[in-house]
Amino acid sequence: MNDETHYDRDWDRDTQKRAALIWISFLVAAAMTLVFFAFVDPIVLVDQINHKLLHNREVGYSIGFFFFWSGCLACGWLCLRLTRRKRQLPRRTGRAGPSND
Amino acid sequence: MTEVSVPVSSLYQSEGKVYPREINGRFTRLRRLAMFVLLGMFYFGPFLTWNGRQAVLFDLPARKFYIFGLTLWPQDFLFLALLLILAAITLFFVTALGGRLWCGYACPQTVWTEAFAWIERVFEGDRSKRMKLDKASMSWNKLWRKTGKQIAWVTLALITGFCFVGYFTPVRELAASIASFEIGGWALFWVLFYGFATYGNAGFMREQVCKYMCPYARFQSSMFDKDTLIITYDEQRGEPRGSRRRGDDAARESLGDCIDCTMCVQVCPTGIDIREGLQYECIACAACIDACDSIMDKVGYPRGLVRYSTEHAMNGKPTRILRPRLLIYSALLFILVAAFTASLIAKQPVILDVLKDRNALYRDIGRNGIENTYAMNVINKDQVAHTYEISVVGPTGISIATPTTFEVPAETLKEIPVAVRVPHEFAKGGHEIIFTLRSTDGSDIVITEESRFRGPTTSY
Repeated sequence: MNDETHYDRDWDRDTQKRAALIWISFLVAAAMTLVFFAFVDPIVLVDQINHKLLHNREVGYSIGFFFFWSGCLACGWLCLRLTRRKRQLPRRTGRAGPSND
Repeated sequence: MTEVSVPVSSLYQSEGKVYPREINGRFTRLRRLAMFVLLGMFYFGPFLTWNGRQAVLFDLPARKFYIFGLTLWPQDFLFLALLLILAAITLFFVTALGGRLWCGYACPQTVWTEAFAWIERVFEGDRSKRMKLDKASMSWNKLWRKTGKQIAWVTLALITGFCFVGYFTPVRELAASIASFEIGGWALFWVLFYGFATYGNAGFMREQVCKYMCPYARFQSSMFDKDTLIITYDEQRGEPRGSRRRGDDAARESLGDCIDCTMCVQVCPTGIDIREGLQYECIACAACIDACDSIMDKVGYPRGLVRYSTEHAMNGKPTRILRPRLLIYSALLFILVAAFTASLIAKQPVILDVLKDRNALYRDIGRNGIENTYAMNVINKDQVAHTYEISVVGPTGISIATPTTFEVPAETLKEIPVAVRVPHEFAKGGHEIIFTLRSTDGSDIVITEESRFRGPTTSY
């Protein structure tokens, strides 16, 4: 088990949120990839796109995964931005307040 | 035990001396054993063979999953889903019964963190040595220790990435392609990606992942009840806490058993104080139990001030093992295992798909009647070839005009054009027909598939 000094390694609120966003999106994207490609053969998609760099199934799986991941990331990031509490929003006058997404 | 006259508290606050005791605890040994077994399974898993091929291979390029004797095709998604649900319910069951046993002993995050922390200890020494090393200015000693650790970490991470990809693409071909520098771009990308994730998660983020990133850590409290095994501090026995000298009986009378040495806090990887009660950050690694037990041994108090217990037991009530929650999880598990076994037994080693030719509804072929054509896809999922015979049931006089027996090699899809004829007098309108595929090599495979036969709407 890790016996590092832990107190100074704790993340601040922003880092916690970003890390959670990235990791949860990753897990959900992995699950979506699994279900999606159980029913759709990626070679069909690769044929549709028809680009010389895209020529086998592995490419299809990888692109599918990153497609889902980026979708989840975008959704989560927007949710975090839209649900920021009032005091975290930039003030009407003066400089922008601290962002907290 | 030898007599010492120094204050106990000062002895146990110097981490450097007591730290090795933490390594020798029972639960630390158990955790280390779990680490060796699980990592061993992970690293050697891809190299196991079964009937001359890789035993566990989720062959993504070929879209076939091999799990020992079982071959799963994309059409068998139900099996995979059932397996995953089965695993999830098992996890719920174990959590309701034993608390966060998964987090403490079996989660990949815990296991790899343990491995990376072990490497760190090998190169940089125990906690105090590491703290000193980090504060020290750059020297040859610091340089080689830090570099050595990084090289070992990166190597382990890359091996991990390689083995991970080895579960999804044949590992021997992957190894050969790396050895000859011909590895495909995407395979290389995933080796590096997974290696990087391992390095980041186990080397740097560690328990922060459990605290802030893991969804399971948060929602598993819904599986807890007052009879769930948790790691807990015996407040009644321990309080009021306070440091004391060895053999100070007056202190023993006015104080509880907790000598406030803070060892339980110092060994905690998530930095919580177990004496404040159960907290969501606790991953149940039991390091605090080992730490406290070693201190209790030293001061001559009984072990178990911090121990595995239940909320009921702590409040002096009996702990029930059989309770509705567990019975429901067991019932669910039983049903799922039964469903899985049943579908495994009923699983046909062949898939039959019949597609009616959409270009022509029917064809009038004179004296021979009306003909419909079909594209028949036969997937032989078995690991040996089979010969099949096709037959059809439908309107009177229905027959197949194309060859009816054919062979399909092992694990192959064969497309067979089939022409079905029905005499004029019986062909009018639409008819349900049923194709039957039967193996003729004594392997006892029978599968049916419905389709439609179309004739002209008006008779001649």
